[in-house]
Amino acid sequence: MTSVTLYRPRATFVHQGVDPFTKLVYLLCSIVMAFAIPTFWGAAGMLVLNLGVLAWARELKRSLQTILGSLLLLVTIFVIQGLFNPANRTLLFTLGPVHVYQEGILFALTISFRVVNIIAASCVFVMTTSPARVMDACVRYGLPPKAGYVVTSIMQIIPTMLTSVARIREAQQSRGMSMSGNVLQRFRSFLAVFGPMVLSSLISIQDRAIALEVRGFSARTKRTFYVDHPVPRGMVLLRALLLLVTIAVVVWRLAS
Amino acid sequence: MSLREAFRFRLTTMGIVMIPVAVGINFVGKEIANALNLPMWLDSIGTILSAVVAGPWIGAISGAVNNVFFGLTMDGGMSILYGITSIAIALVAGILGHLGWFRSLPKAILAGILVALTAAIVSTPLNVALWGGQTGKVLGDAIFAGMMAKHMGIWLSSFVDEGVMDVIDKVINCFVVYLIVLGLPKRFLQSFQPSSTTIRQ
Repeated sequence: MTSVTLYRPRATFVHQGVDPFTKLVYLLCSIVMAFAIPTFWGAAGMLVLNLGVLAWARELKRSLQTILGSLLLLVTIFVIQGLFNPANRTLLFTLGPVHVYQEGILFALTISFRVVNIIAASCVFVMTTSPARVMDACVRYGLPPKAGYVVTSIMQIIPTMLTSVARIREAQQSRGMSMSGNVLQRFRSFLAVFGPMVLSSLISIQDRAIALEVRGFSARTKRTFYVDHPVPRGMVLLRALLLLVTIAVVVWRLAS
Repeated sequence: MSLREAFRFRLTTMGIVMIPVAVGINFVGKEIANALNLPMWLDSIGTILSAVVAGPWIGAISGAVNNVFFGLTMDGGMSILYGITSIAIALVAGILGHLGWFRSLPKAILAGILVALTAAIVSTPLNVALWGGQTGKVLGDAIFAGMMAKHMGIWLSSFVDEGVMDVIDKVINCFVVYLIVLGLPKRFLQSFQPSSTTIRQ
């Protein structure tokens, strides 16, 4: 049974020294800035910063793999926009019968910076932050505990479901189900595995609901926390700084 | 029951427990489709199913939680923005389910087409803003490139790019949901109805 999340615990400052909520603020600010930042130099600076943080967290290699995952799509964006962007006027170069235009390439460059920046910033968050700790922090800052339950239980449900899928698949294969064949045959195998899994997990919902109710899930009292996670010093300042920079970038965008 | 009844916001314990299960079903559906090398995603069965079984709001929350969760734990942020599409899919599927469209096969397929159109309408602006109109799926992007070459405009090209892929995918999603609803015991479906539950808050 493998973990479904990309988080790996490590002993770096980004992992241990920055609290989960601050990293969440960092991610949200980065997404806003990726859209708002007006110049290529700004976007490039942001990318260097993101990669720097990733290197600091010793997750550069894994995050570059994630970024490379979207590379093919980015390349096709350059091709399609360079050739066919409606705003294309200025000819950049000609390759045989193919004309590549400057406007399309610039547009593709804007998009690529945006995408890569968002992915890099999410890598900072995703790879260095325990999802359970994020939910813990969010519930402390006023998220309803029920929402906390929903997200935490996803992390428990998925491995359980994958185990039951493996079991159902073996059972069906022993009854003669084939994993290959044409699309229709494979779709029938899909139903043979997927159907029992869904039905059994839906039926278990009632049991879960009763089990939760018995433990006071709907009680309207104030919840207490089992473990205490103190927020490291200076993090409130860092959050404020991140918000200020984001506002500044948005203002810069509106002004330029 | 009127449509207003379907949209009354009730967060029962059954509904809340449905949400993580729906997200899990989305994930596992996608995984099995991948393992079997099927040419579609089948990654919104849980969202549609929860909308049909537990109502549009639970479906919408499942859709949003689905995208935020996977955006924050696995696929690097981009999918969070597509949460809006998941919410729209769930709302439409929830209304159609309430009207009984998932109880007959022809209507379920029609529901798939309507869900696909909704998904395409909501996704197109996102595709244009994020990827310049592309979807990253070979068939759709080939159509996109062809339409862009004929100067048919980025919006129409992007809509067709997304729509072609969505219609195939969502019709099959809805077909699977139809089969599952068919197999569910009545007692289970009734436990989501307002009057019959003992575990309601």
